[in-house]
Amino acid sequence: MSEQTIRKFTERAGSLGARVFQFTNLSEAENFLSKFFKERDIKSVLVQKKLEKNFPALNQIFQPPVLDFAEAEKAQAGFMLADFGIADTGTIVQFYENDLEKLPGILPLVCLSLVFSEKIVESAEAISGFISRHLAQGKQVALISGPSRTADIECKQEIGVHGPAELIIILIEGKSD
Amino acid sequence: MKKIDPYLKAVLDNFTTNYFASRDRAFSGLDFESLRQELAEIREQSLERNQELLNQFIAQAEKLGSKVILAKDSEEANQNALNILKKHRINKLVKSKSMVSEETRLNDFLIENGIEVRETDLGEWIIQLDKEHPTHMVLPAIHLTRKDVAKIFSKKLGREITDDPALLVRIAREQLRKDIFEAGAGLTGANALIADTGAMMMVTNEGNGRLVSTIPPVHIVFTSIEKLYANLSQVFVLLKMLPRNATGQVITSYVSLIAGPHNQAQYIILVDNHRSELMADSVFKPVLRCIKCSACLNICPVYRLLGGKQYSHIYMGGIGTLLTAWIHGLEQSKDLAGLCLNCHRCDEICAVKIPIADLIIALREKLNLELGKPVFKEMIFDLVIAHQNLHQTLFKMARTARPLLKTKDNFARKLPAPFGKYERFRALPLPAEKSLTELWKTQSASTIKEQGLEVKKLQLYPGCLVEHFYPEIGIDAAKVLNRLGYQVDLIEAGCCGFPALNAGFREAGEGVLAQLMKKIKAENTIITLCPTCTLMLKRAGEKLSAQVFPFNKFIFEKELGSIQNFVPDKKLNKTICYHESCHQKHSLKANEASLELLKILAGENFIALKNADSCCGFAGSFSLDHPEISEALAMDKIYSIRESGAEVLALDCPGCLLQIKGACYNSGLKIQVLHLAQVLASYLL
Repeated sequence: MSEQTIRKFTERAGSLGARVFQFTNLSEAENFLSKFFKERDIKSVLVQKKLEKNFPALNQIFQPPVLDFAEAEKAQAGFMLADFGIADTGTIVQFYENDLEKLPGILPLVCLSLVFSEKIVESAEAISGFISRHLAQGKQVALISGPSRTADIECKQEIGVHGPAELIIILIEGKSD
Repeated sequence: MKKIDPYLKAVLDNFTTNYFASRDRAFSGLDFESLRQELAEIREQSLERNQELLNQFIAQAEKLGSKVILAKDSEEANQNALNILKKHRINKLVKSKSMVSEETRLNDFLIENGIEVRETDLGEWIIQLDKEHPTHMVLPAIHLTRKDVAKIFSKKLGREITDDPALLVRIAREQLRKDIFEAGAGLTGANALIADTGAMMMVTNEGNGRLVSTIPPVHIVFTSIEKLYANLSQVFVLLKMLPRNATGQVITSYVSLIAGPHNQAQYIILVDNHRSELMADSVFKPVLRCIKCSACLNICPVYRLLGGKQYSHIYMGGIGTLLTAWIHGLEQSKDLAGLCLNCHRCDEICAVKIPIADLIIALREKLNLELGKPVFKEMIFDLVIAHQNLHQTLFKMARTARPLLKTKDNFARKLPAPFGKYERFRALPLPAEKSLTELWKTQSASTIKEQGLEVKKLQLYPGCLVEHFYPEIGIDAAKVLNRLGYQVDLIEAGCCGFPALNAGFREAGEGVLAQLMKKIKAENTIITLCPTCTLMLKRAGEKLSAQVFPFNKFIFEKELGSIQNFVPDKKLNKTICYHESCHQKHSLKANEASLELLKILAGENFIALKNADSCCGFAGSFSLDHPEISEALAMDKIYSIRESGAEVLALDCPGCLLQIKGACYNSGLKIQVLHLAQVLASYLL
């Protein structure tokens, strides 16, 4: 992916209220995450299953896989892997095979999402066929752009009304294994 | 009589200002016109293929495990929702925003049947607690202050809550999260149904839609049959438009694409509610292109004054009026149909090019035909306007009575008390001593020829306000055209028929237009002095439409060089600003010609008028039907004019001139209000 596209992605995501941190590899990201969770005193992270193996050092704070939504509700943060990033709108794209995978992005106040630079596309149209094929198989898809927000009280922007108040994007050079 | 709440007006004004700034930013780099053309075509095709797409959607969704239910009306839709809840032994339902469920009054029905219903969209929850209904399709609680919300929350929680929005939002999160986890079912709307995959698309900012469709064991999608799209590519076009036009966002925080259930049971209830009939109606079908972005509300001058409480049945504003007529019945749309100014702003901003203003006129005709004509209007339009001789005779009589009716400043004397509301904010004019037709015969306006210039023939159609009230505008226009080398023939006719057409008396209106057409010479260019008359003449066919020129546009396009040559160094010596009339700007797109001319003529004396294109509130008989709205709009205009400090206000529309001149007089604002023809005459002659 071109540097220009990645720059556009980070700028647009930033303009929507997401914070983007760039790293060259997973190990750098793991260091950042360890520090982040420690500083924020986050001891319980709801994590998508597909990410657990990438961050062995963080396993002690990753909640074990949950089958119960109410249990998941107790997590202080969610951590997920984006299937794509969309530069045009600063969006991360998530494909879900089951509802448990959605929970890190919908329940906690803090949501972190990993995205690999190779997965950043210029526009939603570029992955339209890909998304359609997944939908046809009964998968669900979410396009997430910034934190949960509302302007329902006097048109004043407030964040975190239902979903995460913080969306932190961990952008890693290259592609996922 | 409608009430104008100053707080609501201020909120809506403030919201609109911010909305337009955000919208401009969001559309930057995109061509709005071509995008809406593309989306309008997609929507039109979807409506054409509705049955085919519906069948495809049902087959695909059911293949993925959803159960699709078609409901012919509100009753059937509500009953089906109740049956689902009963089947799963559910007594608590959480909802994310669904206008269709408002349309069917689902909440009331379920509550009556023992179901606890909790709205989870913050705005919807607030108004649910306040036992109200949404006043805006996107911002349902826009009419409430933070203090109101704090009071509502305090009552709900039984403790004092301060009016800090961040705190109120936090409380809502905690409260509603509990509800979502307790509920047996979640109900969402859908912004689009995708036929080839059986998926639905939902856009939200809060994230409640995602929770409601994920956490409870049953998910009900409650939407309507016209929201079908053939495929995801088409939905992405919608997605490019919807958030930008709705809230000025490039994209909403969440776009959910849901294809079939995962862990839960999923039901999709598709409501018809007369949409099939509407789809088959060749005139009103475009209404169903609507994507519910609410941009037409944000731009509507009347909505901005009244808000959705007064300007709605359930759906709001002009588009809401049209939907109401079909979904909830003509009777319910009767009063709403009269609230449209016909300013055509909504047409310009509509994401799918629905000709809302023209469809409201068509609805007025339908109302007259099916529910009966209002007696007073029938007398005016079917008798007086339709019979030009009677029309002229009445004006002749009024001219005779003029000395008894006039004040020293040439306005009409005060009307008796019951009519005071029509003139409280503006002095009304009297018919002029002589009509334009009479004056024309005594002046040489039609015969002046410039030495050495080729004489070119034009016909001037003044319209009834110039003919009867402001003949001096017609004389000045003719003199300016003479000076530029044209021989001008006056079309001796009164009304163009638009007032009748606008009130839903199409036959009378078109009859008047037909009479007028007989006086038009096929080979001539027709110059008009009123944008509304211009619009009406343009209805008479493409050939005539090409012949008709608003005065300002003709001068600017054909004679700009001549004007500059006539007086190369002369500038108007008074400061001048320009009011942009609705039909001139939003229908004819001819306002720029006047703006450019005035800037050339006045140079540094030209002052840009703030909110120059805000409606003055005249809108023909609207100012008589709704004097309180007309007054509020006029007062806003007066405020801008006063603030400009200009000595002259120029405009193109005799109707606006009537309204603004009279309102300036009553407000004690000393300013000359002149038609562009008068400004040009004072400059050139």
